[in-house]
Amino acid sequence: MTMKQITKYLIPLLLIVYLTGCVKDTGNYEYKDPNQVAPVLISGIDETYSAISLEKLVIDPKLEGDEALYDYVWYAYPAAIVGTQCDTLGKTRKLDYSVSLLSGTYSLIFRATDKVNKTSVYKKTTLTVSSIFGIGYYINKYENSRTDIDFIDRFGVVNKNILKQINGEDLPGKPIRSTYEVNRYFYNVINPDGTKTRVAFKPAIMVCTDEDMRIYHGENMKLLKKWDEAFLEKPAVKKPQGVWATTMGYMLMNNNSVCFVNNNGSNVGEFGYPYPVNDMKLNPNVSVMNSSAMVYDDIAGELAGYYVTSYAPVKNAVIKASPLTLGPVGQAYFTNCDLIYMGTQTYQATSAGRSYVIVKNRSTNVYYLWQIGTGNIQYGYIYDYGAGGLVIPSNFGVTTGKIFTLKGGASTALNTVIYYSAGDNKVHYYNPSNQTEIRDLITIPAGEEITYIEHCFDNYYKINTFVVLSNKNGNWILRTYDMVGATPEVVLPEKATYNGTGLAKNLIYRHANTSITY
Amino acid sequence: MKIKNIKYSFLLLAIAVMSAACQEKMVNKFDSESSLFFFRGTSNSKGDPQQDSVSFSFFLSESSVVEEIIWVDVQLTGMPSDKDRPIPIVQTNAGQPGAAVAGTHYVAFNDPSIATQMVMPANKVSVAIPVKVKRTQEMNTAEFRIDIAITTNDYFIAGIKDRTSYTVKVTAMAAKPALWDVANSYLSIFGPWGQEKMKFIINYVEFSDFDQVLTTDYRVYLAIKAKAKLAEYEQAHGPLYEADGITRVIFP
Repeated sequence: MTMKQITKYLIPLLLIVYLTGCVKDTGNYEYKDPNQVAPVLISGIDETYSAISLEKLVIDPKLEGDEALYDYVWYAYPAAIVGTQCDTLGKTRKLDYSVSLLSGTYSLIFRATDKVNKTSVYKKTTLTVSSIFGIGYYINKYENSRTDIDFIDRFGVVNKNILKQINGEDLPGKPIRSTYEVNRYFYNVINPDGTKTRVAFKPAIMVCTDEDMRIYHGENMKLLKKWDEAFLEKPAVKKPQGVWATTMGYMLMNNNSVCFVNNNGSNVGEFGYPYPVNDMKLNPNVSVMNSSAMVYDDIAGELAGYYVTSYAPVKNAVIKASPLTLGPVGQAYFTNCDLIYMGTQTYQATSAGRSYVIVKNRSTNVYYLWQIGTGNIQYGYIYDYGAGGLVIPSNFGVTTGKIFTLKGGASTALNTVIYYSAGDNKVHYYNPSNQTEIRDLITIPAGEEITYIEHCFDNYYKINTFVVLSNKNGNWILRTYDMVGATPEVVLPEKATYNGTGLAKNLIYRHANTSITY
Repeated sequence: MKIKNIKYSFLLLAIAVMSAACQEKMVNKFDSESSLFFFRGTSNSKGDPQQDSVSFSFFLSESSVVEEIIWVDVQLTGMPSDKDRPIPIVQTNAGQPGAAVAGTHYVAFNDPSIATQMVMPANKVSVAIPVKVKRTQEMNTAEFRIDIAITTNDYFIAGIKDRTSYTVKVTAMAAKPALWDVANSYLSIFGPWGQEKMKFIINYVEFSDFDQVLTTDYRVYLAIKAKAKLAEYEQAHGPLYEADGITRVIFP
């Protein structure tokens, strides 16, 4: 067939198709208001729900008309994270779901779709999930030469010795600290056939004593790893000094060096090789923010820092607030000082406010307050954020404090107060913004010795509680106080008191949406 | 082609096939003589591949290791015997350039220390014989070759023609691992490859499986450990250099 012949047939065909488009469409469509044909939800779904892991979540919505005519689906996705996968919770009208979502806040969606005309009714609500261990206080305590955790749950019940109760074993040694992170832990599970399955993005609590460190699942407190299983190469010397969660994983201090579980998407929950320590003697007081850790060199008497992907300690200091206006680089702000206190303000989720450091000059005996952007250590420098070495009057009690905590808050310079106690039965605070002290903010009964204080704070979820943990006669007592709005003051008397046996060292507090406990 | 031609062609083909089918097939029968040959395959009795040769380097061994055994599978055609039979094995390239010297680079096959292993054991049809290689200083810069052949003796005649010879090459030089320069692999951990660097990694970082594809956290572990071990080494011995005396061994 020649091109001429093809053209002869093709042109009339195109003309027919073209002209057909001009014919008026007189189809018999019937348009209806979606409100008349879509399923109608009458009642049964609240605006918010709270659920506890492994317990039942039942929601029984009512719809207009014959409910058998509809397809149903319930699904949920993390409320604060865009673009994450949805979990389908059910495909029947009535949701009867054994909660297996990780702790957190989710958008919960109900949708009923007409099987014939495919129109849907859609209802979005908020679901907050937490395990029974997802809300409460974890008291690190020492009893009978062992360390265990007493857990105060959301109902105020003190669950004694949960590590031993759940795993049959507690830890040797005296408690140092514990830490929690919501989804950065990976580990291998050995299957019955000997193969390994990697379990990813799980919550974990690490508990450190002066003789041991163990890793527990953050939802059920089941033991995941003992010391011998927790390293790519087990350290020659076992001398744990503390463990901290970061947004890039976890940091362990052992035998005057630090090592990391790096959250890089391929780890199996084992700490790596110790980072260089360069002749420092590390103070076990560490301030963490995001993925950086600020440490203190007790020999030189100055600050240093670690960041997981920088394989050497950071000592360069920048006496400027902004990386864009770098000042002198390569000199410590101060040196030859003793560390009195170092801590980080909680703010919300993984973000924190600022880190504050109180030091005493070894030569002059002058006390200084520094405000540091610990999170910027990842850029290779330690940044001052405005306090600039504020001199603290020597008659202020904060200079002789033993127990400290910061008021939670954002990063504005000096936007905090430093609560402290001498380890007796009183709590005071120092306000650096106006160089004042408030004494005897809280006085607990004589004879009790305060061992830990904390401002439990989350700006977004409106957590705002002050806690005082004390010991007396081998027993611990926890008191919680409401705060007076955004002020540093507490409402007296205490709101609640809890008691347990053993000597408490400190605690971690988790609310339903805690991402990390620095 | 005409249809007629096609038809005749088919007919001729059919006749040829039929006539071939009528021929008596001559089957070679086993004539009771035994012979030996070297196994060839992806996995010998030690689980190693065995083709026509093997290269061995002491480089991947710790410096204290001065002897290693390379096992070579020899197999039997013929009937097993009820007694041990010596295997007739010789080096065929003795005296040639690059040839290994018995007693210096390897233990002679008739050496009393291994002679008892150079036999086809009673009631067996295969055996792994040892080629015991010895580390020498020359091996740091050269490779030596042992061409081995199975010959005949009172018990065995020549075996399968192309499988009666086997070559063992031995050295102490390093070869750059194939994965070294692959993205996110050894180059990123240890920097550019070098013989002394690789030896240091094997002996001090205690890592030698360079065929592994490494996970990120393991790479970080190795990177930090390598730097730490090199710092320790330099403190005790001073800087480490490659053989040229100029290129200093460093890790990024």
